[in-house]
Amino acid sequence: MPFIEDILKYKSLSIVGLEKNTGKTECLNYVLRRLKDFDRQIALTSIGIDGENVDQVKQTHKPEIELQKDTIFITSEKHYREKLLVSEIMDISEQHTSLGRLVTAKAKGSGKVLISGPADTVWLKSIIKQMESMKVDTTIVDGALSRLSLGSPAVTESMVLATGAAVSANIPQLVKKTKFVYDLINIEEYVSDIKEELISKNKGIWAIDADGVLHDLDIPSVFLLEKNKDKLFNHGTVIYVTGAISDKLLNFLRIQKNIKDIVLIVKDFTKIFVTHQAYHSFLKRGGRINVLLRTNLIAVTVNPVSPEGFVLDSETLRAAMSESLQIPVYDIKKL
Amino acid sequence: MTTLRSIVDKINGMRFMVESLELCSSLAKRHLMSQEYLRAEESLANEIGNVSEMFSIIKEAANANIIEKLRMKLGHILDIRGTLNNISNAAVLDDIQLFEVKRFALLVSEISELLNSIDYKTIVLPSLENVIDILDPDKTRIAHFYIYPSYNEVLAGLRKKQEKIKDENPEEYEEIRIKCLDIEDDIRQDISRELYVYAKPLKEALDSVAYIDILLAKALQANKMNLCEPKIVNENTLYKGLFNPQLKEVLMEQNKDFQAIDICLYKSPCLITGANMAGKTVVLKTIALAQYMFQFGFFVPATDAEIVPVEDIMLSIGDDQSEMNGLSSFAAEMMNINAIIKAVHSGKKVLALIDELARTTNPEEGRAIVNATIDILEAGDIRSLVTTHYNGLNTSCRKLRVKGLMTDKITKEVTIENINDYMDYSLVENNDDVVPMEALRIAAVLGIDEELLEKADKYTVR
Repeated sequence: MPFIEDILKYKSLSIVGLEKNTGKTECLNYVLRRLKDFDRQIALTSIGIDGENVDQVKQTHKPEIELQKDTIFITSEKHYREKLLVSEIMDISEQHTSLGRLVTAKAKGSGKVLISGPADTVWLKSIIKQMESMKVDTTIVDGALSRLSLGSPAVTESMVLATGAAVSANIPQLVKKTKFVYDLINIEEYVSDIKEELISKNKGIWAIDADGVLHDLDIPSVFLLEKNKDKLFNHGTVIYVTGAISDKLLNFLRIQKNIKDIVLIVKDFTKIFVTHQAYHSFLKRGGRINVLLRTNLIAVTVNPVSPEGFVLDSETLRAAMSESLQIPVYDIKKL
Repeated sequence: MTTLRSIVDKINGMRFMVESLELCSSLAKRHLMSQEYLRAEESLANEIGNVSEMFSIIKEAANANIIEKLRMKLGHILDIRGTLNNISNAAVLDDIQLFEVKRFALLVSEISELLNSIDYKTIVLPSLENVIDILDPDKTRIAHFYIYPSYNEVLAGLRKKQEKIKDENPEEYEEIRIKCLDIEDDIRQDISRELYVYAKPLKEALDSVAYIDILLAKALQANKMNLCEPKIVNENTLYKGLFNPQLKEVLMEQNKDFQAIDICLYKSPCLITGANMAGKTVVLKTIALAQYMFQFGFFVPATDAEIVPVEDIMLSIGDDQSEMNGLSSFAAEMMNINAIIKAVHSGKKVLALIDELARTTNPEEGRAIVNATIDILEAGDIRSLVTTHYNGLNTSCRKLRVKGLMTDKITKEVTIENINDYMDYSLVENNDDVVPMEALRIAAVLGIDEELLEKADKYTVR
């Protein structure tokens, strides 16, 4: 299967599901299994804990991910103790997650383990860095697209997106929804000397003036934007919003006189929670959006089976999807 | 028992000193906070001697490389008290805990080597070679851990077999997996039992590395902030060039200098007078800070210091949150004074620092309270400083005065921004009973309403 070789080009990869039951875990296991044939050091972690692995009946976590021998993995103390494979501990973090510290270990045989990783983007970034220094060729992040998550999979260099019948049972709808996320992932990166400084900001709304100097606009949240309208363009029209972007914000900006000059900067595409309509109307009026962290989408996988049990026609779905996205699309059940 | 934790937020500037210590591990920070106030001269001398020795080591340019490495290793030390308690309670450790012990033991061995290379012998770390041997059966000396196959031949065989049959025979695989777990549990039990013997040296090593971290941080801080080694004396406390590190830094950010002062405290009370804004309170707070730093084994913020150790440092500096306790500011102050008087009566050796005694009551009775307090302070084994605005005090005690505004040097209008340039904060002996009358002048500088100033001036009896 081709996209494995694309993965090898990158130092980090996230695998992200558009919804539950879109086959993210199957995709991940496939990637891990296939990577075994290449002489590469792989590390695996995740962003926070993923609800998908909760057994709905027993309310316990059950390991889903099958690790190959010699793979490095990073998981919480709690899940490390529940692992079903032999592994050698290499490091323990000083920082804690809600499930204890993070254990870095190397699989000494193959077997299942539940992966829970750092809770925020900064920590995830430092883990990817640390893995590089430990001679890891590619770090794979089991990612989640969640409004609640502080961690973003966009810190990885590359991404595989899992989508499928769980998102919509109607093929044109499913393609449209996936295409929208695809468009968001491909939003242009903001190039600037102060990018790292911007990434480190976790609060507030900022402006970058013509000389590239950062100004705190002293607007506590986007919800208070209308009240603080007078402050918004005090330092030009390049605005960095640290939090989530909503329809309301885009609609507000769209009706401003200077919409054609506005450049809205967000941390990464996962911060954009807007409808298709609001997004496109904003762009159509001349507004621009840039991201600080941009990832390369390598492939899209589709799961034609919905959780309710009906099955979409795999070939029709795949064809429609690749035509719309112009990148490789694979059926997860046929990998 | 007074620990650093119990006073760090009560003493002005102490939090700043603690925060600016460059400790390598959070373990050291916890140790530091539970350090005790040192009363015995011997333990004080020992502590300050240890910092002093470290200070000479870091001053030596040739050691810079080793110190850097040492600090990096210390930074890797984690607080494994919980795990060590498990060992001494004869509990069976899991892989994560065994890993912690192994990594710790290897780090201790590396830190020992670094200390040996600079011939440091004061704090000797116990040898943990036997601990390393137990947890490193393959002798790799790499800080990784799991139940290695070399612990047990049967386990080694089963694991090999397990991998082979995994896909072919899931049932047998599961059977072998459970057998392996069983053997691993036995091995963990054996290892934990073997480690039990080393519970004590492990704990000692943990305390010692934290202590070395603290000594190093204190020495580095002394170097960075120009602190000096205090000499322990029995008669008079003497500071030359005493400064307040936090204030100095704040002023530096505004491109201003902190004017250091010289002061000597005899075994008799001393009154300080001076205009408003002349820094009397700062003097008191800085002396309190320096004395506390000394008693916790820090170098002190002065160019020269001879300090008499005291059993207790007692303060009455009106920033108590008295309203919170339902006391008026006068009542709160009187309670503080009462505690000081009690200490005098009990014969305790204390340093008492009292800011503007009886300032919140009428001048007649206030003056009487000051006189009476000074009389009592005179009697005990006590060093004390009392600031006041009152004149007409009939005590014969020693009096110091802050020089205050240097009237002859004033070339342009004095404002709140530049007043610092015209203030002389140094202390002079002042044996006449004249109290500087500069309140109105200072108020004018502050830009207070002119009508008020004019009227007040009329009321002033000159």
